[in-house]
Amino acid sequence: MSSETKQTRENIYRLDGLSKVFKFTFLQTIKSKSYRVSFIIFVLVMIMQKPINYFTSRAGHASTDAKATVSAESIDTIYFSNESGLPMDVNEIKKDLSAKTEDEAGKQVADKITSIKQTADETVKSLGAKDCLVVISRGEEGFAVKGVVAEETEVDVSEVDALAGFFEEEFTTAKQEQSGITEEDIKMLQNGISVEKLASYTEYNGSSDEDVTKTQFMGYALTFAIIIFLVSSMGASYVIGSVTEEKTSKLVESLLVTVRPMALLLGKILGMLAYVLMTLLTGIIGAKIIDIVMFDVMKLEPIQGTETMFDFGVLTKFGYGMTALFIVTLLFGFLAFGILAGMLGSACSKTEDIQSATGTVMMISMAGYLGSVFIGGLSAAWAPTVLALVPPFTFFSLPVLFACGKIGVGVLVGGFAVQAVLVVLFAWLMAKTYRNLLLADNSKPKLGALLKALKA
Amino acid sequence: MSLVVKDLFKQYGEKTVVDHISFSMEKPGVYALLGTNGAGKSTSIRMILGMLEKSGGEVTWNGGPLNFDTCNIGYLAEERGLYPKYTLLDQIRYFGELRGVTGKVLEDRIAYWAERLKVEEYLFPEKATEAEEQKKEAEGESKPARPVRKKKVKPKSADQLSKGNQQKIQFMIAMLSDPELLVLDEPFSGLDPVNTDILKEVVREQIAAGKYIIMSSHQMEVVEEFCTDITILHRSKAMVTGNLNDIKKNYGRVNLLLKVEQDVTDIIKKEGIEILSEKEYEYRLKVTGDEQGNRLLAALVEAKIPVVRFDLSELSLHEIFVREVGEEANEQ
Repeated sequence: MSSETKQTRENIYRLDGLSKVFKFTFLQTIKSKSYRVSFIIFVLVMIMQKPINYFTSRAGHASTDAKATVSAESIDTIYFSNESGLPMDVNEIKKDLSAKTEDEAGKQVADKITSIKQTADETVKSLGAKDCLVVISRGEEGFAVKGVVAEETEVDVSEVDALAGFFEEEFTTAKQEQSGITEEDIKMLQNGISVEKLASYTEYNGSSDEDVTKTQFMGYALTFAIIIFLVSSMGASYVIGSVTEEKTSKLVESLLVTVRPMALLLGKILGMLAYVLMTLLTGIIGAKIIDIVMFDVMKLEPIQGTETMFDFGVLTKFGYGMTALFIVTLLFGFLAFGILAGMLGSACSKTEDIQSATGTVMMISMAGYLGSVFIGGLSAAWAPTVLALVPPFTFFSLPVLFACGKIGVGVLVGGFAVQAVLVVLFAWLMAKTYRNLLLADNSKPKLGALLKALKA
Repeated sequence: MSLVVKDLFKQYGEKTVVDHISFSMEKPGVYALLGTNGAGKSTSIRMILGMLEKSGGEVTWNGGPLNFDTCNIGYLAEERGLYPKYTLLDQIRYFGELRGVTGKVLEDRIAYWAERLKVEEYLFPEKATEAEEQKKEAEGESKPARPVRKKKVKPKSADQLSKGNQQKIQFMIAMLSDPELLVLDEPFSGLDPVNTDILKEVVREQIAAGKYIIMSSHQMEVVEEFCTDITILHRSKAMVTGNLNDIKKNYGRVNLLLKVEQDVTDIIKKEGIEILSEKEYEYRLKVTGDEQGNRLLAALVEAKIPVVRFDLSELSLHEIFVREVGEEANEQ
């Protein structure tokens, strides 16, 4: 090819017209009924996540507490036989019962408890119609708590069950006390993991001594990965559908005499990104308002453990600086997957090809999501660095790794550099493939077709 | 202003789809790109407009590269399309804005072309409904006793339009920027005679306004009506290029229509002239040129045969096209 020809080659990377494509895409998305419905559903899910988590956890706690709420209206005497070998003070048990129930009924139940000296077998024979026996025994398979009543009993069986539950708790506490385990130790054991210091977050924030357990880290990582997966999937399916529609309806020829491929596709992706950000921000603001209403206005007690549940509030949990980092990663992730979707969309020749193109993007996105969760769960020292620097995992985990102190500032910057380079590289590839494939009638959304288009 | 297409070349792998095509437009007018299906017309147009990368050659507008930054281009693609679900007005405005036409100018042009192309009722259905109601009132239809709540008229989307009307909308989009270079790929295909006339009238106006128009069509009579210069493509090569009148002159006046009142077959054969058809002493003949035609006329006069009609004419564009493409096809 002559140098003269090279001089007249069209610059396909120019971005004139991008703002108009962006505006049109955004406005048409908002006007679309299906996208309006998606917006409402997505925002509702985000807003309702916290109350749902809270009230389901509270219901669980309430049912646990109910075990301690005992009554003995149908019972005259509660015989208690301790055959476990572990000493238990009946007076302490009575005190606990009074303290937990905190009403007159509780004291009345406590007054009915009588410790027996003879064996349980002997007591069973002499039980009256309004008596019951609670036995704690030790067998080959461990300890057992049993509630026993007479053959011709008039006792309400549910009251006996509640009593047995109460004695079980008392026995567990006694057992732990005698083993020398404190309540703090028990909480630690329940969390399962040792505590780690948030060194990097402290450096960044300058004032925090907050600790993040592994369980909490996994909760945040999972939540962020799901958010990225959701938004990138939403964006990718829109971009593929839109590009294929323009290609199959032959609109693209009219478009390409007024706007260049790069501006056309980036305008679309950014228009969709604006819709996604609008949805996310509305959801985050809504979730924050709900948070304020629940805990500041209604003064509800926070429940321990709910912070590790799936919650969109993770984006704002670590302060404004970290929220910005979350959003930057979200932007890079959205752009990378959106551009990839655009390239594959330009290779679609029929509407039937959309499924295949969407499947490819979803597969890569799913690999990123699952990989980041799986590798994030490993204790290996290399795991956080790999997640932070290797695509596609970096899009799903970089800010969470930094927020939880798993990586330092250097790796964070490196991760962002990798993301930025990948987006620029994708955009360059996109402009070439997009232009060559848009007018091709027989291309397929496969990697081979993209490579062929790059060479053309 | 001038458009120069020089050595335009496109290859896909080993296959050449446009083989070193050159032509130029030194002054306003209509340039026709003709050819059989798959000859390379649309590919050439796509390369000229810069939407498809060239394997070789160059296209210049006023000495510089041609693209939508250097030239105000209006383009009606052969394979037409609109966003099926978006409202017509939204997408017309979008294309207008992409072409740099905004605000009141855009709205005025939309209104002008909607009226000109008779698509107002689709773009402004509310206005159309109002006009219909006013017409009914004027015709004396009684008003309802109580005011009736007006139904909201939904704006139309492209999938609610016939193909012909969709084509008019796309033509309108091509005209919105008041282009200096208008590229029309098969502009009249699929249109009914009424709409064909509407578009033809607009094309005539554009020619009169001094626009540069590149037209591709299979309808030779339409092209012949408008174009001054042509290129006939066949199997990626330019078979004929140049001014249509010059091309016709080169072929000479070889079509002779003769009408007499008796059988003159013997005289025609004696002169060695080919008879294409004959019906009630009206002969369509193929002569070698003016000389052979004049010899036949002299022979008829000498034989005292009254001549009702003697029409010696050049080849039509259709005949030139078939002759060039057909001969090449036979050779291959």
